[in-house]
Amino acid sequence: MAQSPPKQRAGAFIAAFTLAFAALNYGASRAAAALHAARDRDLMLLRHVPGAVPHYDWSCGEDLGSALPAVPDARTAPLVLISGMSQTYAINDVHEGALPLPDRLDASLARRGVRAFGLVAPNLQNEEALLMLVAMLSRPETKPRAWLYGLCFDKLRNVDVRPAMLRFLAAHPEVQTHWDHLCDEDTTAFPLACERIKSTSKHAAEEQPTTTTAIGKIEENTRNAAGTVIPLTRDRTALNAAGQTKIYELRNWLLRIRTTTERPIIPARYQLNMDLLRLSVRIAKRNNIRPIFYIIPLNPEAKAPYRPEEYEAFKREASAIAQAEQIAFANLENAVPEGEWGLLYGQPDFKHFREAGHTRLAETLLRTFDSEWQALAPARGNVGP
Amino acid sequence: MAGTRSRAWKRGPVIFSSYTYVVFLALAWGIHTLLSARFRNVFLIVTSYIFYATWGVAAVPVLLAITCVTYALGLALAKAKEPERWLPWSVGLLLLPLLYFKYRVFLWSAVAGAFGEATPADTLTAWAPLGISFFTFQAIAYLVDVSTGEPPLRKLSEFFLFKAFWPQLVNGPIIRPGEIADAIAKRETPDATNVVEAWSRIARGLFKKAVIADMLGPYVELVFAPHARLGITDAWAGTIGFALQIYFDFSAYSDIAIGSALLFGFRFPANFARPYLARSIQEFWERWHMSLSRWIRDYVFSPLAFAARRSRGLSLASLVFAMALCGLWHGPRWTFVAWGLMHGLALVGERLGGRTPAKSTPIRNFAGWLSTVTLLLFGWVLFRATSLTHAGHMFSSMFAFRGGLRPQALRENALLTIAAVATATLVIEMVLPRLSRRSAQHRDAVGLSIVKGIAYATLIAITIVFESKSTAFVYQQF
Repeated sequence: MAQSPPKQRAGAFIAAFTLAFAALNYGASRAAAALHAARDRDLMLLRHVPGAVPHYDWSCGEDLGSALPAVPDARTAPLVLISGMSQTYAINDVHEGALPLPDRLDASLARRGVRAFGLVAPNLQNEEALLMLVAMLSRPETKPRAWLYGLCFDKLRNVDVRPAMLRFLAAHPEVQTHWDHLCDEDTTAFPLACERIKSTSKHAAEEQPTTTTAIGKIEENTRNAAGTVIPLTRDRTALNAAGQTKIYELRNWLLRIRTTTERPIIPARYQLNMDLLRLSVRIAKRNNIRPIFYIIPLNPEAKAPYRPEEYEAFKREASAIAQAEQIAFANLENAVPEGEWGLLYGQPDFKHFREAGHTRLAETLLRTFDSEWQALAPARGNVGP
Repeated sequence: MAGTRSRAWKRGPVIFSSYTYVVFLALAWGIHTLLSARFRNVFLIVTSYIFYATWGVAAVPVLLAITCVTYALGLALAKAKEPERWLPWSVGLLLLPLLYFKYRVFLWSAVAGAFGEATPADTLTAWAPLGISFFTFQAIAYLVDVSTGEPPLRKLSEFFLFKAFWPQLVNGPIIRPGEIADAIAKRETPDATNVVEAWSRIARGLFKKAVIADMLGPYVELVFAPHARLGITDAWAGTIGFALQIYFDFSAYSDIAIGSALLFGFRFPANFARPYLARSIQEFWERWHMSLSRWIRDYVFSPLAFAARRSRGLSLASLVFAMALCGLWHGPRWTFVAWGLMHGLALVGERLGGRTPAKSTPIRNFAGWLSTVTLLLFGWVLFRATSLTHAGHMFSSMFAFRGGLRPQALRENALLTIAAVATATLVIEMVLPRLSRRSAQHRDAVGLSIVKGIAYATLIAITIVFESKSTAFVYQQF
């Protein structure tokens, strides 16, 4: 190759770098809108009509703080907290005006003088569900009288509290105080859960808002300023999600993983989640909140990626907890029939149903736990929505 | 350890992998380039103290005091007729702040423990100025060099810059005066080639830190949680994950430090040279944290070995002692001492075994590499564990088949990620020298510069998209 002076080589490097970086940013900027839409589609987020009243956390766990002001006032009507993973809010083959489970439950329960509100998030695990409960019971105006929680077996493989929820915990001292004292009486009975809760407190402390320090503010402002001129920075969330999806697709392709591929439990994670569930019941009861648990419906047309013996053991254990603690419990795995489910990646979606499935599940929950709703309902004429 | 420190930047300091640092560096570099040569040292001293103050204003007087004392002692030793007589006292004086800030609780609890007293609860929480181990060791090296005839840095501004220059202040590399004295005195502007090299190195460091090390952090933290229930697969994968995390984290820091210094005309020596390809522990220490291992060799082991030259046993014992000290340098914990002792004993074993590269064959090389990596992993367990009991728990998980090979704590994705990073690291580090040799033949080609420009633009884009916000470096605590 031809010899060239150092300055020329440096110039070539800088020119190539600048052009390539500009091209990548241009590409990112062009793709951003489509990627944001794809991210919302992957998370099955509903598009909401401006001005509509939320009956669940529309941010799906990404901004819990913004959802709380929308919670019906628990001091004027008994409140039911609905917690759950994506099945609770996601509607397959969605159409304009379709309503998910929390909206339907609130509408029906309101007729009995009881209100309902959903705190939901994709892949919700038990510690996050407990955090949602604590977030609600920490303030009189959101303190629920009942906690309806859909138990999903494969979510027991998850243990990390998502950063958005850690940030929420760090930014709400009243919730943090409750959280820090959750285990005051239960460390011996729930060692795994209590150790985890302590660790989450520590992580939340590290997630203190960046704007509390001068350098934190500078960093935040620098990032924001960079975002105004560098599309890669501005749209990194959508690009990151798209990149992660591609990596997962590559993994699935390489290892021939499908939605139906068997996913065994991870023992330590499972035990931790079950310990957290037991502790959650104890905490709910201590705060005069009625826990109402159900095993979520699964698509009878789709092969669930569970090991049957592990799934059976989970259902037995959940039922045993409910019996031991004398709380309301139902196995609703067959509650939504064939034909009310949708597709995912061209295959029957084993966990997300169409709007009809939401209607069906809401009716089943109202019927199955009727005595619970009756117990919550105020004496006629006392209070109302 | 990594977990408790991992998000420390939010408490205030400027982290090398933050947007703030990149802007700070670019501004400082721009102003420095525009300044006349005679103002550059003062400018760098001021910016270095501003940088250090972001880590805690309270630490600034400590750095200032150590700098002034070292400067005065250096001049005094250079004038003294018998500097070797005064050297131990000078070194002792410099060690006092280090012992007080970093080791007082540890030493007190060790003494109390020997008399059956309870260990103070705040053993690990005593405050110490950041980087005190680095700048104290650097000061000691300076005084030793001066006492053996090296010329001291006489100009106060030059000495202040040598002590405070921010790229090496908090995490090293431990720079000796001889390595930057010329650059401090001349204050030349780096040429375009050096500037490109500097920013490329910084880009590599940012990628290693923000994309690889920070991605591995949560998996490692999960496995090294004090009461984690682990299977054999989790324990080994978590340990391999930590070996990779600390390597990428610290070598990233070194890359950013070396690149930053180069922007201002200072060429720091390399701190890492593909350490996980080492075929012996000795070779590992020639490739890992090279500035520290050189320091330990020249200022601890060599003097001790010289004193014990007539007794092979004592000479080997001094090697173990030097490595234990190297462990203790990382922090006031018995796990670090055990890590150092383990390395010391391994080095002694190699010396007694007489392993020499000249006798190497592919099979011997592979066996040497495998045994070295295995030993290193055991060492990293000691290094990362929070106590010796915790390390024992990890070791028992590594050898007990509780639940078979099935992971008990880590998800499949974590295992895949760790395996992919480990494999890619080994492959790239084996292939890289060949590629470097080949590209060296074409180093004058404009075409190669264009390819590199595109590659670095892609690297930066990936770093921006996949970074998980700037987190503090694991090595920052030492």
